[in-house]
Amino acid sequence: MRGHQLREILSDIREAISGSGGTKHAEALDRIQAALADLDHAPASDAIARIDTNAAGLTQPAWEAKLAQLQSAGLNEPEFLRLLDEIANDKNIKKADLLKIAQVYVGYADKKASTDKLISAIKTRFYGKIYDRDADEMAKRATPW
Amino acid sequence: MAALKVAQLRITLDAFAALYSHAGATEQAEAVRAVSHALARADKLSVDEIIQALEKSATKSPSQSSGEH
Repeated sequence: MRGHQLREILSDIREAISGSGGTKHAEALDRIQAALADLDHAPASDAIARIDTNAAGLTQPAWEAKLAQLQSAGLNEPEFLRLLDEIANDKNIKKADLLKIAQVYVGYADKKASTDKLISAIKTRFYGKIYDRDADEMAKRATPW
Repeated sequence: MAALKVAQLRITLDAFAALYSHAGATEQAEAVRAVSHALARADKLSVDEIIQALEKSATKSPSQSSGEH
């Protein structure tokens, strides 16, 4: 399912509700579907991930929200690099927060590591994941004999 | 008038997911359930807060089309 199909479903629900007087609900659904319009050609899961990420951003500590964003970027390199840059330049993310992000994302992080080293460790882990994916794909393509 | 809470909107979404499911529209039911599930952690917030965040991220993010061509 693509983003536009998800928006059509939300619009159908909105129409059904507005017909029965649920104005507030209808208006909310209308604004939600409109805020997902730029993801029309992307998989619907991207639109759902946006909702999830924003809900997380409003309810979690900043570092948890950033970690969730990094994780939801998956192996999307431009998105990952954009988020990592955002984290590195976010004044609300202290070194202790970055340490927590690195500990979860990488699996381990040295408490004494500098901010730059923590960022670098996160980046290394990301490219490790890319390498693993590429190695798996090559292994699948290999001709057995 | 009290602001609409995310939890209240989710009740509506879940009801429609059940309707879709009952009508055999599995894909639609799953999509609506996924939206409701994604909103779940913001249950206590007003719908306005989550919408504003979504609108902000929509304008911030460049078109992320990873779709088919």
